[in-house]
Amino acid sequence: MKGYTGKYLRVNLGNGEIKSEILGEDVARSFLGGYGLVAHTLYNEVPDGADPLSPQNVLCLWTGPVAGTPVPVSSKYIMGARSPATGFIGFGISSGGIGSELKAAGWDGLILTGRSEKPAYVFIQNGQVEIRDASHLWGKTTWQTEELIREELCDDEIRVSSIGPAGELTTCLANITNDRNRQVGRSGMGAIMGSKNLKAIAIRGTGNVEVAHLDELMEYCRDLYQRCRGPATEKYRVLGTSANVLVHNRLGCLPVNNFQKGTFDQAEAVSGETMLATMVKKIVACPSCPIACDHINEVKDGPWKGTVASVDYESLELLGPNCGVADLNAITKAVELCDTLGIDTISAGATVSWAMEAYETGLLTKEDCDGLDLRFGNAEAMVEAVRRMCLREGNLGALIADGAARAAEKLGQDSYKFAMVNKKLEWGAYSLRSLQTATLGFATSVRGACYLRSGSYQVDIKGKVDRYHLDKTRGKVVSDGENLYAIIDSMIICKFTRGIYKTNDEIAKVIRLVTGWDMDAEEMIRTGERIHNMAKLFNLRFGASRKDDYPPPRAFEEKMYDDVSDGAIINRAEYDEALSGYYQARRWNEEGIPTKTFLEELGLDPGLGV
Amino acid sequence: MEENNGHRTVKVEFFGPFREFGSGMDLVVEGDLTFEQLLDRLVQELGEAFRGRALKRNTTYILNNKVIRRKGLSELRISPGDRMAFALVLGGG
Repeated sequence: MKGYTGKYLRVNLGNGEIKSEILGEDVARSFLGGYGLVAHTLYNEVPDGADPLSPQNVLCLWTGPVAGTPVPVSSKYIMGARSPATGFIGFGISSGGIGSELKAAGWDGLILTGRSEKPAYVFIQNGQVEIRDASHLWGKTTWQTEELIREELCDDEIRVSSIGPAGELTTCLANITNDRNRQVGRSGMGAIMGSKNLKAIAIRGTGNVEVAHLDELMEYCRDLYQRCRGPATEKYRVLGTSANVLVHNRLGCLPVNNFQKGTFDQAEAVSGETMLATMVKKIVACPSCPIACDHINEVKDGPWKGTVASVDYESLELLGPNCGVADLNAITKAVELCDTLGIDTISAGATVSWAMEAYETGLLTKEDCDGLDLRFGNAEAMVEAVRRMCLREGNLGALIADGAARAAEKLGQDSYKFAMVNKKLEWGAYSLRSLQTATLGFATSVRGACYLRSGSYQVDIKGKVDRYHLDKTRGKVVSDGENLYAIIDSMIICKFTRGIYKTNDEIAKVIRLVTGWDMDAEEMIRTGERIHNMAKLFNLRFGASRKDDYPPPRAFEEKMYDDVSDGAIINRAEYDEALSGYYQARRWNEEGIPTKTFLEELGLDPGLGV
Repeated sequence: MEENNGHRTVKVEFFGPFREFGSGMDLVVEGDLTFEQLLDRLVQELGEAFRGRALKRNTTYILNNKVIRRKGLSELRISPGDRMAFALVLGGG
């Protein structure tokens, strides 16, 4: 089987058993890799009712067929498990060198079960695999852990994925960091590692990945690399994703003060333009990436002088304008805390902004916040709240460490109404009411509020639809986006390269040249549909229903107030119609359940269908 | 005494790589402009390089709070009091 090693590791952390297993070609072709194999693994292996933080949960790491090949920006990997944040499917995709390193070591993936009695890390060096003691690493930051493991194993080229103290404390926001600045974010995969007493996974591989048509692939990749240096990716190369700040502000869709407004009067101060001129120390690229989007900031003065962190749009926006904060130094410090202590920056920002709103409305007092004056715009308080959240420190840290939804459950008093979540996962940096197709996509996302599952914000932002209203046709926009993104996330290639492919068949061509399969665009999109339905079936097993596919109450009950999107609100009847339109486009019933016939057509288990 | 031209001004903003031409400018206009006329005015102020940059396929045009699709540019009318922004094509974060 070309493009794959054809085998994966199964490591039982409870009894220490390590096995090599075969990845069958039928499974590979049906689910491709990455996201597809996460959905397939979890659906088949996580027992009914398994608590996410129990040894029964299964944590898997998968690469895709293009990892380790010359395909641009293809060294990616995914980790998945039943999410402690949502209770549904959880996963996060990261860049850096882990994906290609694991393939070079001879493995397509890794399935971790059970729970180690004491802190441990898994070291994979080509065919040699061992579970090593990590007691001395427990309590260390992610950056320290990477360095210590490389020192201990006397090899600077070892790639490390690790958790920080937040993961050890199994907070629902915990993520996994590799290559210092790359994260498996969203949905709490770091907490799953912590629950298994697994501090890190270290990988060193020196082999090659065989592809089906090397000469043709090389020729095609030369063209793709040229395109990566062209206009389709200019935004990412010049300012990085933070270029969104001023444009979203102009369009009234920049979340401000916990999504209450869509414009920020200090947007220029936290823009990508200002960041590039005053903060960016260097711009770096992942392996096999000609784009280089990663903008590394350095704080040059003030109380956080010397802080260095990679700052992208989502992190900047949610820890910045959405908390009313206009201080790039503070934002950079908060990102550094998140990355080293190990929590997701999106969830961190959306949770702190929830706490700020609770504070300003009097539901939280200064005493509840252990003396912090948690007003919107207080940069020092935002940074300190993030630190306490990471460490579950004090009353405030204990309240918010597991995210906005759980904090609202503890606080009560209708504070859930301004917890900006779907399926208990915090909303990304796209306004609810002035980007309404985006909102449908976020709310129907299988892993909870997420802009990366369908990219449905694009039709709103590009002016292709009336972004202040919804209708039935938006469902197909979301489902088409999900099917394509399921393929991108299963191959796995970087979404920033999606614009270099002119047609779906150009993406399918990559699969054909790497694997040798005669997969055309139609089969590819059908595969994406199968993968998405597999993920949905997992959620249905854990109780998902129509009620889980709605945005938070603020979307329907409060109008925006700003000078661009003033008065914007989502009409509930329009949303209901659009959601039904989405289910119809997906061939699901009104409760969001696929029919048995449809599941059989996709080659999936019809057992949960209707 | 400074003359107040606010009522007959188009505010032009530059984002992303358009910042090489500054952060933006206020253009005093006598009445409505087509997109071509606006572009000509900006080229007068900023040089021919601006035209090349503005007409690149990955440019996004925002009139007030609305993204203008490329095929709609020929019918566009920009009025005094409007705000026009030039930015790169938008994508994900």
